[in-house]
Amino acid sequence: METAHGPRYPQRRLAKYLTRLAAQLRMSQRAFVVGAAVIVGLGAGAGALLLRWLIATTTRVALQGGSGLLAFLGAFQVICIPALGGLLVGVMTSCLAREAKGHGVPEVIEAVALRGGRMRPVVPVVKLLASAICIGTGGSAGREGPVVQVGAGVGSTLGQWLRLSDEHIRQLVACGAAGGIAAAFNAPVAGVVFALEIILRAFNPTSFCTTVIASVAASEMARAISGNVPAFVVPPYALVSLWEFPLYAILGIAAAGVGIVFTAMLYACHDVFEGLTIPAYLKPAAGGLLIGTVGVAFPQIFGVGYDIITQALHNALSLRLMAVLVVAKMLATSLTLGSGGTGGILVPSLYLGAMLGGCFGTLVHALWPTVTAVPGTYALVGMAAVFAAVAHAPITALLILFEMTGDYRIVLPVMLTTVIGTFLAERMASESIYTLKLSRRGLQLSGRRTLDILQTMQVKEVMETQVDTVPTTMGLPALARRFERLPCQSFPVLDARGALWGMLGIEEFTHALAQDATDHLTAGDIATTSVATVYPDEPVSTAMRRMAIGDFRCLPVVERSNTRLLLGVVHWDDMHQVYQRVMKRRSRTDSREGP
Amino acid sequence: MIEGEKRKQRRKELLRMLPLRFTHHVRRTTTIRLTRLLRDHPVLQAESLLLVAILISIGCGGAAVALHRAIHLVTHLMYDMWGAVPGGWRPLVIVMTPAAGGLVAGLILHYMIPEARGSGIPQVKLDLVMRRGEIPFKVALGKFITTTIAIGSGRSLGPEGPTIQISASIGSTIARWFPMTATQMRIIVHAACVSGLAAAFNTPIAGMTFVMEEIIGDLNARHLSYLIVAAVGATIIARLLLGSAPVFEVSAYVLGHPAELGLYVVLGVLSGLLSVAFIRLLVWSIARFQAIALPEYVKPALGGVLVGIMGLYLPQVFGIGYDTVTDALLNRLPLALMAALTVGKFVATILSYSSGTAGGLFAPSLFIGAMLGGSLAALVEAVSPMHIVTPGAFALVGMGAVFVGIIRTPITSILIIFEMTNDYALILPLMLANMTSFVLARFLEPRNLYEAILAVNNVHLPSAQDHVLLEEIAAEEVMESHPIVVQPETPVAEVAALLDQTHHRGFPIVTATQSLLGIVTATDVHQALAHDQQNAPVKAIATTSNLVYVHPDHTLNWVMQQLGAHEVSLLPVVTRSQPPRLMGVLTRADVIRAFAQKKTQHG
Repeated sequence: METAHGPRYPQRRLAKYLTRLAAQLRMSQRAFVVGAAVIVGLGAGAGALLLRWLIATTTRVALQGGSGLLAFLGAFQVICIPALGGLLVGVMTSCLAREAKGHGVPEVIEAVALRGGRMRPVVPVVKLLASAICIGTGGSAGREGPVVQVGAGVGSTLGQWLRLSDEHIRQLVACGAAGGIAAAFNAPVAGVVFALEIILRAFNPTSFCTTVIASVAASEMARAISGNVPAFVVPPYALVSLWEFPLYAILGIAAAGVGIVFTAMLYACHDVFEGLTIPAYLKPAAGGLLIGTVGVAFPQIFGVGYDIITQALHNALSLRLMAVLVVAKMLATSLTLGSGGTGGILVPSLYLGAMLGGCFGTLVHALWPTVTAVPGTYALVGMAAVFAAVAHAPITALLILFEMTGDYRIVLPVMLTTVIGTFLAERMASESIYTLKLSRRGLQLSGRRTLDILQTMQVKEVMETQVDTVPTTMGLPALARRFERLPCQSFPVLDARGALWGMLGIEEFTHALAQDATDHLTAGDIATTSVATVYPDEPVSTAMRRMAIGDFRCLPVVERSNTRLLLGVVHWDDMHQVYQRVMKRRSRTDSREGP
Repeated sequence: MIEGEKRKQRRKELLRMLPLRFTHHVRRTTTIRLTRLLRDHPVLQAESLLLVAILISIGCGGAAVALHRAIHLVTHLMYDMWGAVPGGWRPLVIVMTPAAGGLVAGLILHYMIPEARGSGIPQVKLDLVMRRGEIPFKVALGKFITTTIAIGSGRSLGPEGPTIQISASIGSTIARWFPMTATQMRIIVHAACVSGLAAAFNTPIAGMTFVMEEIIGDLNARHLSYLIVAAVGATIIARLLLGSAPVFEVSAYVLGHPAELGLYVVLGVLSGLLSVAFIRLLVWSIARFQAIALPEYVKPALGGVLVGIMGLYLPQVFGIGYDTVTDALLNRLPLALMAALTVGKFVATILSYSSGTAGGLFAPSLFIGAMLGGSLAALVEAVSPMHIVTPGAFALVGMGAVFVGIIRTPITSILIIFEMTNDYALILPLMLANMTSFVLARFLEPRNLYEAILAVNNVHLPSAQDHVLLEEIAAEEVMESHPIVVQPETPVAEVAALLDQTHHRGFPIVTATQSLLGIVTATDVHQALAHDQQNAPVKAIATTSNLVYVHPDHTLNWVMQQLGAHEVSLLPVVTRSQPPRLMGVLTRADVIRAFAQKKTQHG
């Protein structure tokens, strides 16, 4: 049989085999995801390399352009170049992808938590170009935000294109983030831990495997192209004496302070620029002008700032300069990102940490030269501590420091300062710089492994748009007929222009009936006018909380820009039903992965 | 006069007592105040817990160092003894040493401290679940003595698992001096485990990640700060006492030709297979030894004899064996020896562990991995034209790959190798080989080592999976859809008869239109009968308001919560319509049955 069949119809057997293979593959998406992880890793690695090249090119062009075209400006070109860059970035982000604004990581976390990792494919492209321009023209920001978003975008796009399930798209997004970090900083382990600790916020063996694959692929690619050197080359620093531990503890406390102030300043800048009444595309330009002004006095704040960090690590900066740079860099980064520029906060935090540690180290080394290490050691330790305090991610901070410097000897001081930094920062501010952006929109991620399902759903998904409303002029007899028909409902009351006047429930109605003169009373008189409302883009949990506080059965949903414009209502029961349905569906999709 | 004397004396007595009373009072109130302050003030509470964590990290670090020293001491004594024995008798003495050690350890374990048996890690996990982390101090003591005897007398086991249990016990003991909630106790025990491992291996980060991956089962532990503090404290102590050199001194490794990456994947595959074989054989062997009809304390001696005989031919299998691992890492061992040791250590470890003494499996898995990797590199060198620049690198990567296949803590397996050698150059091959081994081993044998060992004795620890299983089943799949119901007008006496007949605990009451009116329980009926209400309609005595019910699409997790929160035994399942229509009923037994079925399906 076999000999008769085999050679005669080889193509048929092949086709049969392939169909079976395809069926098997479809059955286990997991195998698919592993394969996809390699591609995502390579894509993320390519993105990171491309970003590095783009930043270098933009910097060169900006400098050449500065000395050529803008030469007539003289000293003012330092101010104008960042402003011009800001203008370009502003136009790009507001026309093409508003999501590309800011530091990138919160957007990825949000996509993972809310939309099953789905992102628009245009975002990574815009992000890549915008951050290259922003950083290349002098904006003070890091590369990790863009590379994470680009990698995540590659993963998300591939996942959507392959029509994978939410869970698998999420995994590919994490792969992209891991690959991006791994390639950008030559830090494969930190990439994996970053993806698990910050992006997925959960750990399971499957996601571990895929992120490791992506991370290895990305770093192998980066190493093949740009060589295997650590990001910072440091002299062999070590602990000099046990007396240094209390000093490192103080450094940890200082790092927590810097981390908290940095986060607060970044969001304060963000709020100030949000409040400005100039067009959105002009805001980054305004930010650029301010950065340029800061940069006139301290050119060290421009760009990513690896060279300045390296100088601090080699004890090449003076105490006064480092102290000033802590403030200047913080301000510059806040202005860059707050005004709508794009870039990451990892390297700026490392920068702040190096400066802080350098200052501290210079001081203590001057005081007790025999028992303390040189200032560079403190700068090294400070880097991890400030990043940990800013991101609330001690393990990522530890590992990224080791991988960026290739130096492990200093582990104990680093762990000590990192943990003190994180501990205090978490105590004083419950949200990290990454999750604060989300928590301001009502998404409470901190300290929780997975996002509460109610936070992942928006009010507009559960609200009812066909609403029975009541005009303010309606008299009590007509209302009585309404309530007879629908006793358990509250009705939104609208005034003559259709604007929301208040809410009217059975309690108010019966209360009104109990009064003496009921003849002239109308719906407008008896309705509750001070009602709680929700916006359609708020999470369901917010609506539920408001209902619970005021003991309402339903809430009117109103437009954000016009709080008198009724869009619909949400009922407690609807939300509960939807919750149950989603919960069940989610548990089904999750368990399909199996152990 | 006499009256006055008496009064004076009384006053004197009172005055003498006063300071005592006063100090007693003050002491009592300050203690209470302090306790309250610690308990109620959030910041202070967190900080005092941090102080406790520092305290236990010092204790645990010291204990880890002491165990290390003690094992060294006993091992050297043993070697000295062997050297002193006249030539002809030496083989017999060598065979009998592990047997004698096994007997002593076996007697201690059997008669005094049975909790100290085994590696220690599954025991700690069990104590965390079953005893809220309260581990008596005698466990630490017993584990210390038995581990020292067992490993010192030549058993092929490691000190790391025991260190973790000893630390957990010390941590729990210290924590009991302070007012602690159950959660805080658990945090302290976790921190103690971190301290133990960090000090035992001089690997602070891996100590932390191991506890998060294996014992807590979550990488985003909320109490990370305490774990890090514990790791740092213990490592400082260990480094002060033992020096800060890494466990293994290695030469600088390089990744030669990119094709070597392929060879590392092969190493990962081999490691995965070997790990699965190790787990399966170990479990099989444990069951075999348990089936032998000998007193429990003799079995370790039996295992000792077998290990002793192996040691006659391959003395490297004795003890922890880190010297041999270092030799392999520095490429000093010939192929034949490494191949023989891969198998020899494998068998010796299984015999040592399954015959039942104290001792861990970290060190043996690292040993086996080093030999496997070394053998592979030497073999490829010998038979193919491929030139491997640093064959020791394969031994190093093999360590991580076998470790992850057996212990199943992927992140730790990468970090532990990195920290034990201070060598970062091999990170990519290490990640690749570990991942391959991990995926393959998990595919072939879903249980990790500790779960498999616990399963031999029918112990199952709750996992996050169970929660998911309950989420997966809807009420309507499980409910009894043709429940026995009663009408509102049915007399109580009839319901009582029905209760007797069916042995149910209650019935739903439905109207003619199938809508749910209430629930009548056995308690309601008995109370009614006691008040002579036999002929009253059942609706008069039943619960008809604030009914607890679920809808058909609710998950069993929710059902369980409802059953527990309202302490009811019977839960009606109703439609979402108004008024609710009865669709079925659920009892606790239904939920448990469904869960068990699902669990067996999942395997």
